[in-house]
Amino acid sequence: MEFDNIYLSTRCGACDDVCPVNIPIKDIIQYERHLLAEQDKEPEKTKGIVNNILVHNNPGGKDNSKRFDWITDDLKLSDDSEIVYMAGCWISYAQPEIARSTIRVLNSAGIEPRILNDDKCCRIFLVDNGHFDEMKTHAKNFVDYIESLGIKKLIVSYPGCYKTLNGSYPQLYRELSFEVVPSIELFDLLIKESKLQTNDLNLSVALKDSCHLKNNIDTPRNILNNMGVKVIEIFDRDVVCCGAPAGLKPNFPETSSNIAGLSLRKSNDVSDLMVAYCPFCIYHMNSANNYNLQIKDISQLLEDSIQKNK
Amino acid sequence: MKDYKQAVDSCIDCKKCWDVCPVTKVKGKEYTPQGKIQLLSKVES
Repeated sequence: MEFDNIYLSTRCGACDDVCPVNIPIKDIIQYERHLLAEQDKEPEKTKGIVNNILVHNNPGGKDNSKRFDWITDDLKLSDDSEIVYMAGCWISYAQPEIARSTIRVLNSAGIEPRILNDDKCCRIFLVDNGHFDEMKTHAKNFVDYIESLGIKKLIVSYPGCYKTLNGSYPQLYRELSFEVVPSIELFDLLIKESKLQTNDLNLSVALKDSCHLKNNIDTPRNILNNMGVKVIEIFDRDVVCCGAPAGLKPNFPETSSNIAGLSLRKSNDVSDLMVAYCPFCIYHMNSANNYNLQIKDISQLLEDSIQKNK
Repeated sequence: MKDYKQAVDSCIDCKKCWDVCPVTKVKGKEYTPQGKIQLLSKVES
């Protein structure tokens, strides 16, 4: 199609980072998508996902009543904490083990967060596809709701939620009165404050970094080093996108899988375990994994480390 | 309406964006970030 190239992008921002004349390439792609949506020229799958988010509050059109099915009896959650945990859509519906590990780690440090009873998709997909008007309304409603609960700190597992809440919402609505914290940043802080007691796992792993947290790649390395996990660099500390976001995976699955292959191949060359800290990366990597490569979220390793010797 | 025309026109054709784009890495030079932004005038018309 005529405008395929505009949708052949994950908006990872690698191009922005190297442009010597600072062209906002990612923003221009977003604006082009905005115009194409207005002209009713979006790819059909993009339209479908936008509709799912607007109608069902999640990109997959899943049953909202099942959003909290990941919660098991052993997890200690509060009804009125000022700290809230937002699992995000992918974890809630497809990767419950990541949410459970995260809560167990937080519980180990004495933190019992609450959940948002009226939790919603952060709607990063709408941001990536230039649906500004729908996002403005959502940002206002969701921020007002969270603030009405007296929340001071919102912990997120998905770096995309972090980027959207922390970066896009203030642009679309206003500054937030609560802090948005990626789970890995909180884990790192809790380790430094000796609130988490880790044990050495004696592993060597390939580490897949997250585009949305590319300015903070030392944090996952600190956490892994602290629990006796040696990090093997697969891109010499450069961050290379997994190939899934912004509609690339549904619209161009083969290209998306080939991009995942860049990280999978490098990881498989150096280890039998890839560790990541973006659930969407993990979901996508697993779908494209043609190797005997195990892929885990950092929260799962941290839980293993804390539980070891108990 | 945003005005990105000047930004697009400021491209110096250094091709650095080609080297880092994951899509370009797997699909080749027909699909570059530079090519994406150069479609702006066509999308706007």
